[in-house]
Amino acid sequence: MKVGKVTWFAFKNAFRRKIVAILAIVGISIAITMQVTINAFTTGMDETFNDIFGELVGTFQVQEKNTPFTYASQLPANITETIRNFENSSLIETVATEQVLPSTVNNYTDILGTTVFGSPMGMNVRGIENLDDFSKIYSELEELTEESRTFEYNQDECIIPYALYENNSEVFDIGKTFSIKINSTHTYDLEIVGITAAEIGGIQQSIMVTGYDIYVPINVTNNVLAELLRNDTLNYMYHYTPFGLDPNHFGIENPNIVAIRTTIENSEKVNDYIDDLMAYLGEQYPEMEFSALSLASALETMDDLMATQNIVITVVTIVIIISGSMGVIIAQLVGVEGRSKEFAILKATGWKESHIIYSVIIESVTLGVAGSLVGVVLSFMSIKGLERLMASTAAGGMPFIPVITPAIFFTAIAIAVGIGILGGLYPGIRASSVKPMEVLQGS
Amino acid sequence: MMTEEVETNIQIEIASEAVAESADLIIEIKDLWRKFFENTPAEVLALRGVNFRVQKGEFITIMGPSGSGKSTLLTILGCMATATSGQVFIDGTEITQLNQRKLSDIRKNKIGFVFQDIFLIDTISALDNVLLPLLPYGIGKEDRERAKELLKIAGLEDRMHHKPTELSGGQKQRVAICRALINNPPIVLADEPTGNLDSQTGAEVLSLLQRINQEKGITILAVSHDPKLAEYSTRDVMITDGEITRDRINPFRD
Repeated sequence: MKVGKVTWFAFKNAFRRKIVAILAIVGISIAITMQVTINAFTTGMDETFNDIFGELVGTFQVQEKNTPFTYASQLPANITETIRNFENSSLIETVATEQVLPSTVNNYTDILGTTVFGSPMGMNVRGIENLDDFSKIYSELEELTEESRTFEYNQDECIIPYALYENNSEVFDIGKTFSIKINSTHTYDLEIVGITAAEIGGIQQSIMVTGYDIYVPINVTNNVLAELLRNDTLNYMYHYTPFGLDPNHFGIENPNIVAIRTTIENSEKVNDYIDDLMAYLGEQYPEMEFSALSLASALETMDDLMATQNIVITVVTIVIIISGSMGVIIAQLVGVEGRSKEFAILKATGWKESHIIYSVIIESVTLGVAGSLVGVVLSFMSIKGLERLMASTAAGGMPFIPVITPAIFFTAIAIAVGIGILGGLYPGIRASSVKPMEVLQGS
Repeated sequence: MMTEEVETNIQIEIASEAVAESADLIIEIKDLWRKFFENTPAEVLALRGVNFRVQKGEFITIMGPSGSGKSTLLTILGCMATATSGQVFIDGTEITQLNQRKLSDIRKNKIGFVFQDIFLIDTISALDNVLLPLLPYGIGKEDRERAKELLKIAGLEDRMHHKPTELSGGQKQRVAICRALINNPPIVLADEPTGNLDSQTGAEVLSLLQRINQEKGITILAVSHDPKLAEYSTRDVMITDGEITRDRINPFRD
């Protein structure tokens, strides 16, 4: 059979009976609109989750065990080197070490207001040991505003978040200097050299929402801690004594937290890896206990939810294919009944039954694909409409952006082809079984 | 009564002998029976042991009252219905035992059909309608040329790119005849080809059938109620109650 010629003939034939074609296209487009819209929403949700958490699957933080606050975690000064010597360190991409100050050493609550939880807003002064390593895990410092630059090591410089600049630009702006208040008599001056436009800052921000993150070179936090230990017994007592920290050894050279990014993409394997690393660190530092914080477990649960969601989508898709096929079958049966003379002629003039079946299926597929394209357009319009509707409500917009990906588009086309084949098969068989003489004798 | 029967028998003999003398048979029917509702109280004998031979190049009119079996005969000859018993040879091939695929090949290669119900596809041109039977098998340049030539013979040279809605009833039937001929069939089966046409356009169509019979040597079997059809044919056959009751050569046709 010359497939191309028959296909083209059938393609044109599909639109000959306009009412039937329109009914079939409308039916399919409604089904496809539903399917594409649901898929677009779930894909948007997936992508949003992946954007936020996906790259964090293989990332985790290590700190001292049983320390309720990051700044109370005292890690060995050489922990970065120790971690790099771990036998499975080939899976480690980056180790980023930080020293974090307690939020109360920078008492700006009068200016900063309160957090979303109603507590006084503070500052998380994050002393970064190596800017390159930090940036490989956290993206905040890669999104600096135009006038910004990164801080220099051994300088008293800092980078502030955009929200802090936006709300308090008279104090917090590039080129301005502000003071960290160590206590009532001692302050530490920092020059603002950069503003980061990033809204969410990786795992740290995802887990801790205590205030504005201020990024400084680690020498700043070293200096502040030294000052704190020398001059601020009260603060020291308040912050560190309850956690059993020795004032003679604590702090100045010791990081509080280590973030590790691995190349592992599976949350279960990440958890196994963390267990192995914790055991290794326990061997290296027998006097210490470590804990790790990761999103892997949460992501595992999320993966389960996504799997359930995929099952629902599959069921919806099957229902759509069945209902769409029924619609096409009915429309095509009506069409075929009305075209019995045509099929009789074709058969009488040498068309084989298979030619007629193929021709009718192609007609159905054509209607299916046309309906699918209309469905995709309708879906796009309905998503945009919903976005506008949501934007005008108190929510102020959607929590995620529905997306029609190429995969969704081609799935819709594949469904349409499936609907066409299923919907055209029976009418095609009916058409091919027409008896030419009975139909065409006329008299 | 007795005289009529003798006369009929003589006529059948004359025609059969004429055909029997020639080895150039294109259709041969031997003891063909067709029963409907077989072995039920409603059993109908549509064909009762028909014997019939057609020589290449004949133009035969099959006539008879409604229900006489003429259309059943045409249907079996057209490979579109099965016989209850008997044999049917089309150009040397016995068709009663063939499967659907082979019957379809016979229809494609040996037989062209012209129906009372013309039916052309309105959305394509007269030329494309003529070429329609070839579509699944491929349409070459020579096929297009042949289709144009057929339309030219049918007097539709200037109408070949028109759609059927722009053609008269007679023109449509002539397009349908061209469509029946596009496969170069040696046989054309026509079922009431003038049934839906007025006398003038009917005459045009019959002239065309006569022309292709004469010029191309195509064998034509036409079923009709129209006695005028017999004037154009070389032989006319009467079927009554499933039996051939008259088979005579038309002495008046050229």
